[in-house]
Order: sequence, then structure tokens, then C-alpha cells
Amino acid sequence: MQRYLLKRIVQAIITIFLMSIIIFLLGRLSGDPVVLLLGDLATEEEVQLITKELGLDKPLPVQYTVFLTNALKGDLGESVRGARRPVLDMIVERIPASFLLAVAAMLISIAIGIPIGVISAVRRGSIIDTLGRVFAMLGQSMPAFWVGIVLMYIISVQFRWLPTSGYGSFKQLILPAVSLSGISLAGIVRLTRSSMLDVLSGEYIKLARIKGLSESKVIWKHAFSNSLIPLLTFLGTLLTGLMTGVVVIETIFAWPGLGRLAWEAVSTRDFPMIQGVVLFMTFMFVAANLIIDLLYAYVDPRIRYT
Amino acid sequence: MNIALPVVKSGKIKKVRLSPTVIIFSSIGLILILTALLAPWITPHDPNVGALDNRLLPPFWQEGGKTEFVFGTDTLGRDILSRIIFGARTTLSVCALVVIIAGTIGTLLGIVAGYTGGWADIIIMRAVDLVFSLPAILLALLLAAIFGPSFQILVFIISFTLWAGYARMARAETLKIKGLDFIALAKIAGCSRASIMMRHVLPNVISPIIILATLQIGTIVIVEASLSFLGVGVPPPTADWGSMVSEGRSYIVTAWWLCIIPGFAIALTVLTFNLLGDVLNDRLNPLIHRR
Amino acid sequence: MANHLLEVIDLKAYFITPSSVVKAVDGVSFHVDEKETLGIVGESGCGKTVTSLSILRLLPRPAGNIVGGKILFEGMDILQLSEKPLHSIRGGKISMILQDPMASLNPVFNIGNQLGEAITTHTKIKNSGLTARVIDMLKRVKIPSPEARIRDFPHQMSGGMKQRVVGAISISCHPHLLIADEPTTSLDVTIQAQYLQLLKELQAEFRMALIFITHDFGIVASMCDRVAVMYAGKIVEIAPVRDIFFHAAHPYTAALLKAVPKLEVDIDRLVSIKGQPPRLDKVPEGCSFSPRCPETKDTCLNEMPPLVEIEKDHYSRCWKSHGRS
Repeated sequence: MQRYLLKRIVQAIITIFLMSIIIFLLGRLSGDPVVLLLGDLATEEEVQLITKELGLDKPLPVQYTVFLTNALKGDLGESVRGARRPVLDMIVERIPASFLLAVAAMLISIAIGIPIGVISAVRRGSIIDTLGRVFAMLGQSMPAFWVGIVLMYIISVQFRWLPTSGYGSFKQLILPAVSLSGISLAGIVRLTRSSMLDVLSGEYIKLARIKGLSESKVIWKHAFSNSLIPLLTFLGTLLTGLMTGVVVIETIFAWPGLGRLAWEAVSTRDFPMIQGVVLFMTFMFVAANLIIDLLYAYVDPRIRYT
Repeated sequence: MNIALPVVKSGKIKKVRLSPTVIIFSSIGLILILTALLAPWITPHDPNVGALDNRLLPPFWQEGGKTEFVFGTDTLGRDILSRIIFGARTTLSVCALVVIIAGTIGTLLGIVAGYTGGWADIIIMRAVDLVFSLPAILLALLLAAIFGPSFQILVFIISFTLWAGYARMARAETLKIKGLDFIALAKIAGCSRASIMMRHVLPNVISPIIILATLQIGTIVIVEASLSFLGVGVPPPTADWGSMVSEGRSYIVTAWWLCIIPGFAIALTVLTFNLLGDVLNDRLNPLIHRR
Repeated sequence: MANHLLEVIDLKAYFITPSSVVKAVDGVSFHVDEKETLGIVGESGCGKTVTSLSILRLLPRPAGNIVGGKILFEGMDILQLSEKPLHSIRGGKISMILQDPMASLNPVFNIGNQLGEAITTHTKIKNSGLTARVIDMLKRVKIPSPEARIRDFPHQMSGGMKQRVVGAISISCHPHLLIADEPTTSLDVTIQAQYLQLLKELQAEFRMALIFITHDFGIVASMCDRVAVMYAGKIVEIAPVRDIFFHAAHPYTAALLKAVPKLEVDIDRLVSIKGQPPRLDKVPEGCSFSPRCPETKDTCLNEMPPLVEIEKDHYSRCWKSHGRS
């Protein structure tokens, strides 16, 4: 178990490092930062001066080390637009909103998706199964942004049951969370169903029945615990989808989270901000994947001992 | 020595009864592909040119609509139907390019990694793990911010994130057949590594790769649409479903057709290819996990 | 006649799908008494596993259906039982050992947990009493250092060990009837002998009736009191072991026995029964063995013979053997 943990942590760290290098290099490609800082009317002299001051005349590896150490200290530079606030501050401000949205969406997907998937598998061929599969198929085909727009149109505009945007009340959370959960919900239903079907045909399920266990124990204790394993692997893919979805949904519903921040940064070409957000989000993403891997080892004892 | 026969499947798919769903969706898929291919010849109007006195016309079945603009027009007076048709072209070209690029590179790297083993395997697999941990959207945002959105960058980004899937699968399949006797025979006969990989490994690995590709088309369409929706995908004025939805968003109350119709096109395309991919998967995959 | 522990009367179990009906078990009757071992022999697909699954009503749904007959256990008809009493019998009074030890244990729970579960389902034993009972069961099936083993996971054990654990699970609640479905088929030959010995000892200790399903006549000879031979969903001969070995009445049984090679006899070719068993979804008229039977006559092709007692306790489903009695 120790070895597995260590291996995964090392991999995670390497990933983050590599990503930071990519981000850094791309940053330097984006044009002379000094010119960006000073504007077009700066003289040659001024440019030289500032370049030297910011250490931008040093060789790249040195610059990168500076960049990295700053980042580790929490200094991600300053936003180019508006009040020129520190990037990290702006990021930290937006974390709670994104976190709330992501967690809500995941909860919805899991709370609805898993039971539907399990029932679908156990009552194969029934109406519930067919409906569940159709629903899952449709859910996977509709991009998050469209679901968001359509829901917004129908529920907020036509029926006025829920507000269209904003942040702060539970009501305002519902539509964005539901829209975001769309694709992952479909994926969870399908995966739970297929992995349950796989598991239910196993010999140990027969043995569980032979023991005289009640049907619900057979399904939930024995079958489902084995289905969890492929589900966990899927969670990783889910996270990627979630990330794309977060950016899109936050933009549509004007939800003040990291995704929206990223988009705003792109629209205004605020490079330090993009750099910071991307770095941060990558970090979160890698960390989340690591946690999933650890959960995986916990659930499947076969992994623990390799 | 036991001789194990090579496992190349004959190219034929057994004749099976086709359900009505399959027939319907295959037709839709075919129509989509044909639309994309024949776009310049079948559009009623130029998708990029519009007259301002025609702006914001509703679809022809609504009050105020004109039959010459079947799905209505947008804010610049451009015909929506023509833009949808060209949007199909855009989207499906991205799909085709990504599948070809990511598929080819990924498969080749996967086979090399699986067959050669050693350092090549380690390096390639680390790269694959790395790519799997990077979400496409962040890369897209980064690159778009620096270079501005473009078709080429879009294709590059999506290919970059997807090649790893092909590599992983190709490697797994290669490992499965690496130990089989027909490979040993080829080695004994003196075939070079490269030729073994190309002529013996590749044909046996192709089948699951094709299934993967079909199943991925849906993902590519959604990612492309999402990126374009955000403005970091295909740049205007090129007709693209994602950007159309984005443009139409603010008019949703007054001119619903601007974003609902392209959105519907996206959903239909994804649904069609997901379904066809599933069916293909069921038919061609060994029946171990299919129920 | 004394009451039997288990009496199967005209059991019919079919697999029903939209395109066909497979008559896997088509009118099977037999009985088993306390402390007795009944062997069920036959080729693959003859219905022996389906018969055993039917006793516990474990046929795979939705295709598997018991369409007729009675299964009387200690006087009750199992087929009429509702869910709760059925679950209490399973693992409690009737238990089963499956063929494949590799797949019989749940990979994510340790064996102490799985064995303990079997015990807690039928008794109220808990905590330290439970652990003691689990260790005791493992000792009975001769697993070394059981105290250490209870936290092991299935993948950490060998096939032979796993099959012993499965055995422990099956007898943990002292069943009156144990059904063993080819339990040694996937074990090494050396382990097989040990395992069979273990089963015999457990049977004596717990006074269990045993139904032993196998295709190996060697096992039949050493383990069974009586044998039922099945073919194409029906019992074609059932008799005490000696009668089967020394004067089998049904041509199929005779052919099966002939097919077993003997060490002392030098032969050039292995004897096999030519032809294939019939398809169970398109059962032809007449005796199902007649297409392959060396002694077939016209009556055989037209009419299915009934199971008839040809000498004491020895029944045969063959026109020819009826002539004998």
C-alpha cells in the first residue's frame, strides 16, 4: 500500500511540474510581457530598464525557477486588468462558488445515477431499465451548455420558477447544478448498469444466494461493492467532463466561480490571470485524481497488495 | 510447437437482423456525413453573407417567417439553415481530423510501447498518464489566450488530449497478442521489428481502435461545441454550431431559433454517433462483457 | 416406505426465451435419505446442474423457470415456499458447493467476513462467539493457522484452500443436505483426493445427506451409495452403486462405463459414444438416446420408455431392460 501511495504522489507532483513548465513557456510565447505591462508607448530605454528589473533578461531556466518559487510562495502575479489585484486573491475568492457547484452536481449525479443504474441492472428488460437507458443516452448526447440554456429558457423564462442567474441562495444553485450534472449522470447510470450486470453473473453472487442472504443484501453488499471499482475509475473521466462543464455553466448562469474567472481572463487577454487559474485548476484536478486513486486502493484489496 | 493461428478477423460483419433504431440512426448518420461533404452545393444561401433587412426572421412555420429561410435568420440576416449545414461541415471535419491524427499517432505509439517494451514503453506510458491528467479545456483557454482562437489550434488541442486513449488501448491489445505463436514465427522468419509491427500487430489491433474512434466522435463533437461556445474554438465568421448557440444566447427570449436549433443539431449528432458506436461495439466485440 | 429427507417428484425446469424453450430438466424424480450419498452423473448439458439449482430455486432469471413438479424437503414443498422460509432454508438446512473455487468467493471481502456472514444469517451468534465459530469451521476443513487466515482475501489463497473455505461456508450451519456440484473438477488431482476425504469426514460428523454431481465414475465409486444417470434432461437409470457398476441396465450407462479407460487393459483407441446429445429445444419423439444407442429398436424411436423398477431399488428407462424384469 505504501509503495502504491508513494508512486501515485510522485506521479502527481511530476504532472504538476510539467504543467507548470508548459504554462510558463506558453507565457513567454505570448509576447513581451514588458510591453504588455507598459503599453505601446514605452520607449526602448524604459523597456530595457523594466526588463532588467523584472529579471526578464536572465536565461529561461532561471526565470522558470523564479516563477516556480513565487508560485509556491503564493505569488502568482497580478491581474492585468482593472485594479491589478493579485491573481491568487482573486482565485481564492472564487473557490467556494465553484466548489459548491461541483459538489452539488456530483451529489445529484451520484444520488440519482447510482440507484437508477442498479435498478436497471437488477430489473433488466423492464420499463425502468428501458427508460433509464434512454434517459442516459439522451443525457450523454446533450452538451452541458445546451442543457443549461434550455433549462434556463423553460424554467426561468417561461415558467419563472427559478431565477436565471446569480449567487447566494439555494434556489440559484439548482439550475446550474442540475445542468452540470447532466452528462455525468448519464455516464454513471450506464456504467453502474453495465458493471452491475457483469458482477451479478459472477459465481460468488450465486454463493451469496446459496447462503440464504436476503436479495437486498446480495445486491447492495455483494454486487454493488464490486461494481464500485469500475465506477471509481470512471470518476476520473467524469472529473474532466466536470471541469469543462464548470467553465461553461458558470459562464451561462453568471456563477462567480473559477470557471467564469478563467473565461473572463481569456476574453480580456489577462495572461497572468489565465496562467494562475490554469495552474491552480490543474493542481486541484491532479489532487482530486490522486484522491480517487487512493479510494480505489481502499475499495479493491487486490490493488493494495501489489 | 503449437501453432496458434493469427487472429485477424475477416472484414465481414456477420449478417444480423437490424433493429429499426439502428436503421433510423444509421440513415441520420449518413445524412449528416453527406450534408457535411456536399455542403457548398446544397446550401440555399451563403452562410456568411446576410442582408440586414432580413435579420431575425423566425422559422417559416412561425408568424413572420419566410419559406426561403427555413429556419429563420440571425442577427446579421444570415440564413440559419445554411449555417447549420456548414456547421455540420465544420464539426465533422474537426472530428475526422482529430480521429485521424490522434488515432494514428496514438495507435502507433501504443503499438511501439507494447511491442518494444523497455524505455520506449516507460516514456510513452508516462506521457499517456500525463495527458490523462490534463483537462482539454484548460489547455484550450491557455492557447486561445495567447494565439487567438483558430481551427488549427482547436484540432491540435483536441487531438492532443485524445491520442492517449488510443495509445493505451493499442498497447493493451498489442500486449495480448505479443506472445502468440504467429508473431514468433514472423520473428523466426527474419522479419524486422518494424515490419512485424506494421504487418502483423497492426491489423489485429485495428478493430477495437475503430470502435473506440466511433465511440469518441460524440465526445469530440461536444468538446468542440463547448470550446466554440466559449469563444476559444472555431473563430467567427465560420459557421459553427457551438458559436451559433453562444451568439443566440442573449436572444433566447425573442428569437429562440438562434440557439435552440444549433443546439438540437449538436445533440442529434452526438446521439447518433453514440448509438451507432454502441451498436458497433456490441456487434464487433467479443461477447464477454456485453449483455 | 419411510419418509425421505428430500424427494424430487417429476421436476420440470425449462429455459424460456422469446425464440425457444429449452427443456433442461424434463420430468426428473429421485429421493435422498439422511446420511446417504446420491451421485448424479451425466455428460455436460444433461441437466444435472440445473436440477441441483432448482432444489434451491436458484435458476438464472428471467429465462430459468420451474414449470412443474414438487420438491419435498422434510415434508415441505420447496417450490411453494415464500421468500423468507426459502431464504432460511438456503444455507441453513440445505447448502451447496459450486464448481469453481476461483470465482465463488467475493474478492472484496476477507474470508472471515464471508464465513461469518454465513453464520450470522442463520444464527444469532455475534462478536467473539462468532470469531470462535469461524475459526472452528476453518479448523474443521483443515486450513492451517486459521486465526491468521481470517483476515486474508481470496486472491491470497490457492484454489484448494479456497474450495475448503467454500466448503466451510457451506457446512457452517450444519445443513441436513449438502449438494456438491463437481467440487473437485477444477482442483489438482492430488488435492482432489484430500478434498473428497474431507467431505466424507464432514458428512459423517454432521450426519448430512449428500448429493454429489460429477462426471467422474471414479469419484462415484468411492463416494456414493446410489447413483442417478441423467441424459437429455431425464434420469435414465438410478440404482445402488454396485448394481450400476456390475450390471448397468441402460445402454447409455454401459457406454459411459466402457468409455472409462482401465490401466490393466491395453487399447489402441479410447472408446467414446458416437454422436451428440440431442438439442433440448427440439426434443424428438421416442427415447432421446436411441439415435446413439447400439441396441436401438423401432419401439425406441417412437415411444419414450418410462422409468421402471427392474430389480430391487434399480430403475431403468429403457425398453430393452424392461424386457428383462
